[in-house]
Amino acid sequence: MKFLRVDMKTKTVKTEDVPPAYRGLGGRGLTSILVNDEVPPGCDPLGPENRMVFAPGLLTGTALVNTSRISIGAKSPLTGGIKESNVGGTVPAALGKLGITAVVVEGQAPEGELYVLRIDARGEAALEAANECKGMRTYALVEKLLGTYGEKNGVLCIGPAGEFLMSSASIQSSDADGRPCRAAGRGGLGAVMGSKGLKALVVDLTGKSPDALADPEAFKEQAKAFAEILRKNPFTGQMMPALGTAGLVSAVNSLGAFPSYNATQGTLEGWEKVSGEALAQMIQDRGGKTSHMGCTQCILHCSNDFVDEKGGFVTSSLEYETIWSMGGMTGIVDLDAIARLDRLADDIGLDTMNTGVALAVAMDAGYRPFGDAEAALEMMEEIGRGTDMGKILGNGPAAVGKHFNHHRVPVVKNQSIAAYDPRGMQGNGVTYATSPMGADHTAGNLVGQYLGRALDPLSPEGQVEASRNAQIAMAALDCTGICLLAGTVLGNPKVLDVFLKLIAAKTGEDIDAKGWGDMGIRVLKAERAFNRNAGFTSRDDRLPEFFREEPLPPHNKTFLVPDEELDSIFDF
Amino acid sequence: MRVFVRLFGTLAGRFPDHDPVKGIEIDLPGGAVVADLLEHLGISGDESGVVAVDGRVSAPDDPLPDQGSVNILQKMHGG
Repeated sequence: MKFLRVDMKTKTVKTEDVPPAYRGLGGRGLTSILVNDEVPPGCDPLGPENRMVFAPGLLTGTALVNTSRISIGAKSPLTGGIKESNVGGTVPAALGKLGITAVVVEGQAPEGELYVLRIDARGEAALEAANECKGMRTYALVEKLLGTYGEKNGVLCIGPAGEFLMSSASIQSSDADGRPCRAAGRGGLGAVMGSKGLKALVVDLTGKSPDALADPEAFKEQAKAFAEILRKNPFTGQMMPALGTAGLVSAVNSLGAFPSYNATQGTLEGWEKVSGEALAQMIQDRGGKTSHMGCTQCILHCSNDFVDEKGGFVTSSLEYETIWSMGGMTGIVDLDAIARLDRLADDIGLDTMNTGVALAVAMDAGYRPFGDAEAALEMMEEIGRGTDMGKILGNGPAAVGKHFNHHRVPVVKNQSIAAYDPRGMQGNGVTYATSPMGADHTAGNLVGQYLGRALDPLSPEGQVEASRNAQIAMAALDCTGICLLAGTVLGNPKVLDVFLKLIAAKTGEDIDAKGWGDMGIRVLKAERAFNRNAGFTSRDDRLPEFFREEPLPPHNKTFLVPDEELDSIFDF
Repeated sequence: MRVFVRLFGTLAGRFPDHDPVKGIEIDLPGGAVVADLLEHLGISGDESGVVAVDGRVSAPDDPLPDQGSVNILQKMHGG
């Protein structure tokens, strides 16, 4: 249980015991509460006063499956509010196995200087000059870093977009095969890392000094039970390894809620060609991997290796949200083109969602035609080179909309929506509008409830309550390090009980379902407090006007949830 | 009555005649409802079959559209 405090100005790293106020916290709970405590809400997100917090989940580093997950928090240059973006790969579990509760990065290196934070197998850390890495794209960078430090290391890094301080810049995480293909994409945290002069964290994967478990026997027993639950569940045990998240393309198009052509249609013409089923068939025919372990200790294997016609690796993992943003929103109904766009996003260090939507807004404004894959690839290269137009595109849909004076910009707090249209899935619209993160499907996604007929997606009734409950549950889940997909089983109270016993066996403190909800509420309160102090009001908890004005085919609905109801969501 | 059924998720693999674009044609007695279709195809509750007609998730006792199209999905969660 220790914090690594990294000062980029003095190039020093100090180790401190976790202060009592932060004990028992992990992941998003730790990043958000610490950012709220230590970052001046009015500060420049790209200035020296902003701090970055890298916090593995509470259960990360233990033997529990699917817990190699890390939350990264700071004030966001995209939203201007608090941000937590989480990612898998190998670094999260490695930090947990070193007993590192958080890495807190503050200050800034002198302009033009670039550093790598190296954390060795004993958990000791130092900043090492890395000016030779300037401008490097992430695939070449990770190859170079693993060449220097050894294959048994994991990397969190930025690409050119982060160095250019673009608002869509991601932090890329290396997967189990040492490729920087997982992304903490949302909120432009790559730009914060770039502003600090930090190109990468390189973490030894062989550490063996995790925090002691309060009750190792109980933990072992419940961890085994939880893994068995995941294996037997049809979604986590069968659908995820077969199709990954891309399976949602069929489901959401079938319900007419797949925002297409910059959210002017709810069904993508020809979606069957970019569905999860088509993707799996194509990968299989070409000899790629339809199922793949992307993150340490993962048993879901939702990842894939997409290969080209000759069987050459293109990208991993091609997922639902990227197929939507780079395909649905742009009208590019071509998996090969989408895969190349995904690879470029990973390589340049960009959020595929914010970037795909930025391209779509540009197309909608007439800059390039919908469906033009070559134009999309050229726009991505412009971002990678940092041209004037590239910088506008790399700053996301709101920047593009402003440049072209185009009104249809599907963002909340400047962050793009995800692959569920608020008019076709009203509760997801509530989450987009009210989440302290800006439009973020992972903050409270109701698609499972709509498919299970628990709620009518087209009616405004009951959406605020459903979104509230989902946002509280997700805020709690994001504290633990369990991946979101594995966490879907926690909706069953008996399974939640198993999970809560795991938390108790780790921390030594009992927690019940109420305590679980309280944890989520505590996190949301800290996030709301930060945003309020940064100047946000209820007017920021709104969808763009066009969602209320322009009906979405095929259901021809607008967003119907009243503002007063939106404003009541966090009355706790 | 006849319905044109497309299967998604892991369901399609169980039906060798299923075409990814056209699906399969299923003949049922007149007045058949959604539950009858799932039973005819042998899709059990454990497989979490979700029947979508005209962009809406159907209830088990909803009527099926004669000569119409039906998508059968599986319950999924967002990622």
